[in-house]
This record gives sequence, structure tokens and C-alpha cells, in this order.
Amino acid sequence: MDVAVGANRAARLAGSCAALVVAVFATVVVAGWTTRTRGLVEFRPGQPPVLFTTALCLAGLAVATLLLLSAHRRWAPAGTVPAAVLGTLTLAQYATGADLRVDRLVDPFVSTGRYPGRMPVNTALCLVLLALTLSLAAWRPDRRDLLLACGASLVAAVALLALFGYVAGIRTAYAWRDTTPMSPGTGVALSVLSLAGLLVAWQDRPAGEPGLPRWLPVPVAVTALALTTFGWLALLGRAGRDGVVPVEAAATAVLAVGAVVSLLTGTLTYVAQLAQRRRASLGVSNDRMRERIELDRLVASAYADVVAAPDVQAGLAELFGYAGKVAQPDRASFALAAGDGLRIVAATGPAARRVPVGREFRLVGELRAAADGARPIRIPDTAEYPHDDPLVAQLRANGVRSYVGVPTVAQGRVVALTSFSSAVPDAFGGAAVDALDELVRGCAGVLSVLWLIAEERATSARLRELDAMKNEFVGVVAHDLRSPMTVITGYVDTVLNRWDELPDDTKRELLGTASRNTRRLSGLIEDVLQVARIESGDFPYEIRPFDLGALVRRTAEEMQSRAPEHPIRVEVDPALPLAYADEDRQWRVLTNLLANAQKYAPGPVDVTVGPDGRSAVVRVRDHGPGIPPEHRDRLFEKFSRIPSTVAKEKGTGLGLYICRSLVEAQGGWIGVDTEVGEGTTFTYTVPLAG
Amino acid sequence: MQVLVIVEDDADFRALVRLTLGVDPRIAIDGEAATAEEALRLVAADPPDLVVLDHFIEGTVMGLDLAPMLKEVAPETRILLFTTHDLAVEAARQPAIDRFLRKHDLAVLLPVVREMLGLAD
Repeated sequence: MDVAVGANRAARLAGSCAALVVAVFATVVVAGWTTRTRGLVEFRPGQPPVLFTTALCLAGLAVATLLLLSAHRRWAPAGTVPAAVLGTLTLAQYATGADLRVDRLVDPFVSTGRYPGRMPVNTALCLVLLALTLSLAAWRPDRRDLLLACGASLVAAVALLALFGYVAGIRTAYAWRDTTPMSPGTGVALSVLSLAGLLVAWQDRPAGEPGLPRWLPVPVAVTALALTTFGWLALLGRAGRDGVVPVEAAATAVLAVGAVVSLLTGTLTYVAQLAQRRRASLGVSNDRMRERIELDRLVASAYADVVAAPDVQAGLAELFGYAGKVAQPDRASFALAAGDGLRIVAATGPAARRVPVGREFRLVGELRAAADGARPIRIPDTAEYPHDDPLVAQLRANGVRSYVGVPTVAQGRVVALTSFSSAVPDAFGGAAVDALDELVRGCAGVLSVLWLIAEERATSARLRELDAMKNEFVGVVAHDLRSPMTVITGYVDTVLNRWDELPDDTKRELLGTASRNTRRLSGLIEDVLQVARIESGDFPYEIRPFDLGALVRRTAEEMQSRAPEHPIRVEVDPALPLAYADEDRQWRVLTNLLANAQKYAPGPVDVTVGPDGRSAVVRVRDHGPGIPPEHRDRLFEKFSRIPSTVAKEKGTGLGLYICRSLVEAQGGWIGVDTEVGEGTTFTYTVPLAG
Repeated sequence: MQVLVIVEDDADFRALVRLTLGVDPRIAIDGEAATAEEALRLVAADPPDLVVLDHFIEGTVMGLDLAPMLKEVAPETRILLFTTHDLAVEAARQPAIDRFLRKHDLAVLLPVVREMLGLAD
């Protein structure tokens, strides 16, 4: 590729130089005509001069050539205008015999024969041809080589014929019919331009065209025709003083022989070209077929190994191994669709630790367009990516220079993206990208399935766990609700059924028990509902400053009045500032703790409240039996119940769980200090205001 | 005199069973237990004629599992599974359980116990 680029540059340089030389030459001639300097106008003294109009046209064509070989090829046709116009008008003049006044643009102080100042027929023809060629080449750059070759070879043939005529002394060669002869200068200029054009055409072949250029038959045929003409004219010899050959006979013979010869040579060349191209493409397709088979084998092996992998990570590692056989990535990653973007779920390779596994990203712009179209994304060098793209920026930050991303598309959207990256720029050529594309097509589906299976397993394990937990909760709650219900029903039914036979105080006692159990049931329902609301998040808190000391005193009074045998002694630090929490919830916490103390411990309960830094610390101390160590760990969990000889009835097992939830949600903590035989102290904190 | 032991962890319900069965002077409630350990001790020490057994009791061993243990130490003792939940199927599968009754059917507790003890109505 580099060689061709270099050669193209050399060819363009040669063409530009040639055009420049012709331009200079033409300018000199124009100057000569305008300043009436003979020396500048006659290429060789005594020979026909280069005409003013010819020089103008040559200058224009030279400029057109320069433009054609530069970036401004669209302007090239502008330079061909003088040649096209003047040439065509001259030919028209010759054809119709009319005088269109193009011959005397300057005073023709040097005579040129019958039509002073008028361009020769062959010159006009050449100029028109060149104008046409250059314009077409500018308009159709893809066919530039063909156009240049055809036009240039024709012009070269005519110009060289004229020069040959000067050398061999055959006038017909340079002066067609009885018209102005072509000046040697013109012949040279035209030859230079057209040979340069041929050179550019030769070097300008489309990339990838094997063997000989496609336009070769034309110059070959033209050369054959010209050679035949030369030969014929030479054989005919320098007949006569002015070397005029019987035109009709010569013309017919030349045309006939020349046509046959040129057809033959042209055809032979064309056939040779075809054969060569055929061989080349067969060779290429053989190579391609071999490559194809190798690649298919590779993909099949990769598939077999990925399918056998235990999970996505292992599968991706296998794929990476195979990718290493067609390219040199230093890391690979696999991302699955998540929401509107993709999330990286696995990475492998020596540089895998630089891949942000778990990160979500989105494809935008042309990257997205490529992915949506199921085409691989290829970034040769992230440092030279022309657009602002978040993914490319991310890749750059992770040290990636070359990147290939192969999308997996299903139902019109990207469901997965397998990426191969390298810290080396331009690490993945076109063939590598195609091979990686094939590999991923075969295996990405498997990777997705592996991921789904893993997810499924994790989900169903979680579901089973949740289910078990739920059953536990429901089971326990159901039992706890049914028990008091059964007692209530049993007692009430017994009283009703045995109304007459039971004495009054027995009835009173039984109904009392029933009543107690309704309270117990109601308490349990309250607790269960609280827990349900806490767990579902439907538990609002109204955080406000309030007087914690006053709340504690009030609550203690309430609880004591309900159970006078359990006096509650309260000590509030007078320096206690306002607390900043939900007063109702705080009341609940304290009530729970006090109720527990009263239920499980005989004797008084001590409550102290005091500030400690930014929180208030509340301690509820009872003088009961204490909590054995085996129950301490699970104390604040749901349904932890401590068997007690002192308690009249079982608790709900939810009280401390609720306390902990409430305390922690308001920014505090709760803990217990207890020794068997030494009572229990519950300590919790409440944030202070300010 | 037929002797009974009640295995039940709810004190109020224990009292209710005592009250219900106490109507029949031929039946004497000799012991109450709230856990499997207590029950085994009682039954092993002095095998009763019938045990009224709840399933969800305190401790690690539940009623259904306790039944065969009781039968082992007192093979002649009949066991009535008396519980809130409908464990009829499980009771049927456990040969140590002689009869199953739901607490919901408290009204027929006395007739059932009489039947099991072979007492005439």
C-alpha cells in the first residue's frame, strides 16, 4: 500500500512538473507574440512557429493538468476552456471554410502558410482531445486512469507523428492536408503533456487491481496504429520536394493495415490481461477459501469450548484464548443489555483489572449506529477519535488505544457487546476485525445463556430463601394469632354453654381471662402490623425538637399506673437539651422497654436520661433475672422470646425488634447489658437538637 | 380414676382444658407440662392413662416428635393430639398418636376423652 502511495505521489509530481514546464513554455510564447519577439515564438529558426492561440490553449491545459493533480480538481475544466473553444472553432473554420475571426487575436508577424495565424488541424484536434480528456478526468475521478490513458495516447500519437515527420522529413506527418503545419514546439509540448498523462494514468490505478491496467489495450492499439503509420510513411520515402505522399492511397492503406494490426494487438493485450487477472483472482480466491476454512474451524472449536464452560467468566476466557489466535487483544469484556444501555458483566485477559466490571454505559452517535446495524465497532486509536464520545473517553481513561466491539443484535436491539481492546494503537486490522466478528457471532449467544442461567439460579435461590423466611414469619404469626383466639373462643363458649351451672365469680374469672387474651391478641396484631409497615417502608417519621425528659416522666407515670407493683424511678439530667426525633415513636420505644421490664422482672425499674455529646442516652434498668447468654445474640430479632418463669404470658417476640428499628431509623443505637442474676439494662440513644 | 397429663405451653389454655375435663369426676388431671422435657419426666415417673398433647410447645421438640418418645416410656398411655392447626394428616402418619382433635372443637373434647378412656357417657 505504501509503495503505491509513494508511486502515486511520484507520478503526480512528474505530471505536475511536466505541466509546469509546458505552462512556462506557453507563457514565453505568448510573451513573444505580444512583444513581437521572433526568437521566443519559433521553436527552431525556420520552422513553423508555435501560434498565439496554440500557446494560449497550451497554457490553459497546463493549468488544468495542475489543478487535476491537486485537491482542486473540480476547477480543472476551467483551464480547458480556451483549448476547447479555440480548437473547436478552428476545426469548424477548416470544415466550413468560414472565418470565425479566432486566428488574429494578435498580429501574425510570422507567417505560417495559407491561413496566417490559424492553428493546424492536428494541433486543434489534439487540443480538443486533451481538453475533453482533462475535463472528463476531473468529472469522473474514478475513471481518471482510463480517460487519461486513452486521451493521452491518442494525443501522443498525433504529436509524435508530427515530430517524426520533422525528423524524417515527411511533411504529411506534421501538416495534414493543405493546412498549417504543427510547430515542432507544439509537438514537443503536446508530447510532454500526454506522456505525463500516461505516466499518471499508469500509476493511478485503483488499489487492488491485479496485474496490468485495464486501459492498456487502448494505448497499445494506438501505438500500433501510429507505428504502422510511421512505417508506411517511412517506406513510402521522402517522395517529392515537400515530401507529399498521394494522400488517398496512403490514407486507405494506412487505415486498413493499421486497423487490422491495432485490432490484433489490442485484442491480444486484452486477452492477456484477462488471463492474468483471472489467475490472480483465482489465487486470491484460493487463499480466501483457505482462510475461510481455517476461520470456520476456529469458530467451531471456540464454540465447543465456550459451550462447555461453567459460567460466563470461564466462557469469556475461552473466547479470549481463541481471539488471541486472530488478533492481539490484551483484554476482552462482555456486556449485556441493561435498561437503555449495557452493563459489563465479565472481563478477562492480562489487562482485565482495568475493565470496570459492573459499570453501565450507553452507545451513542456513530458507534450506536454501527451496533444497531449489527456491524462491529472499530476504533483504531482512541487518542485520535474525532468525536466527543463518552465510551471512547472511558476507554481512553482505562488505557485502551485500539478497540473492537462486536454487537449481538436480537429483535432490532443490541442485547450484548463483546469487546476486545489493546493498549497498542492500530492493533486490529480489517482481517482481524472480520475474524473477531465471526468468532463472537458464534459464541456470544452462549455467553448470554450462561449469564442467564447463573442469574436464574441466584434468583431462585434468593426466592427460596425469601419463601422460607416468609413461611417462618407467617407460620409463627399464624400460630401466635390463633392461640389467643382459641383461648378467647374457648372461654367465652364455655361461659355461654355453662352459664347456669357456673358460679358468678368463676364466670367473672373466665371472662377476665378471655378479656386478657383479647388484649394480648390485639397487642400482637399491633406489633405485627408495625413490623409489616416498618419492613415495607410505609412508616413515616416526623422529626421535631421535643422535651425528652418530659416524655420519659410522662410515660413512666402511665406505665406505673398500669402496674403499680412495678414502680418506675426516673432521673433526668437537668442539663438535657431538646431532643430531635419523632416523639410518638420514642414513646413507643420506651413503652416497649418498660413493659418488658415490668413483665419479666419483679421490683422497680430505673430510668435515667442524660446528654452524651450530640445524643441523649436513655437507660432502662431492671432488677430481674437477667438474660442468659444464649439468648443475647438474637435478642433484637423477630420472634426472639425468652422463656420466663416470671412472665404471666408469652410476649410477641417482636417488641425488641420494633424498638431497634425505631431507634435506628431516628439516628440512634440500642444495646443491652445483662448478667444472669444481676438484672438487665437496655441503653439507647436519641439525637439532640442543635 | 383416670389420670391425665396435659402438655400445653399456654397457661390460659391449660386452665381451660382443666376446666372442661374437670366436669367429669372420673377424670383427674395429674400433671401439666409446657415443654417436652417436663412431659417426659412426668410421664416416665408416673405413666398416666391419657396425655392431651399440643404440637407447638416450648423448647426444641414439638408434640408430634414427642409422642413416640412418650410411648416408649409409657406404652399403655393413650395420646390425644390437641392443637390449633389442622395436623390430621401428620397425626395419621404418626402411629404414636392415637387420636387427633382441633382446639377449635373444644366442645367435643370431653366426649372424645371419655371415649378414649373407655368411659361411658
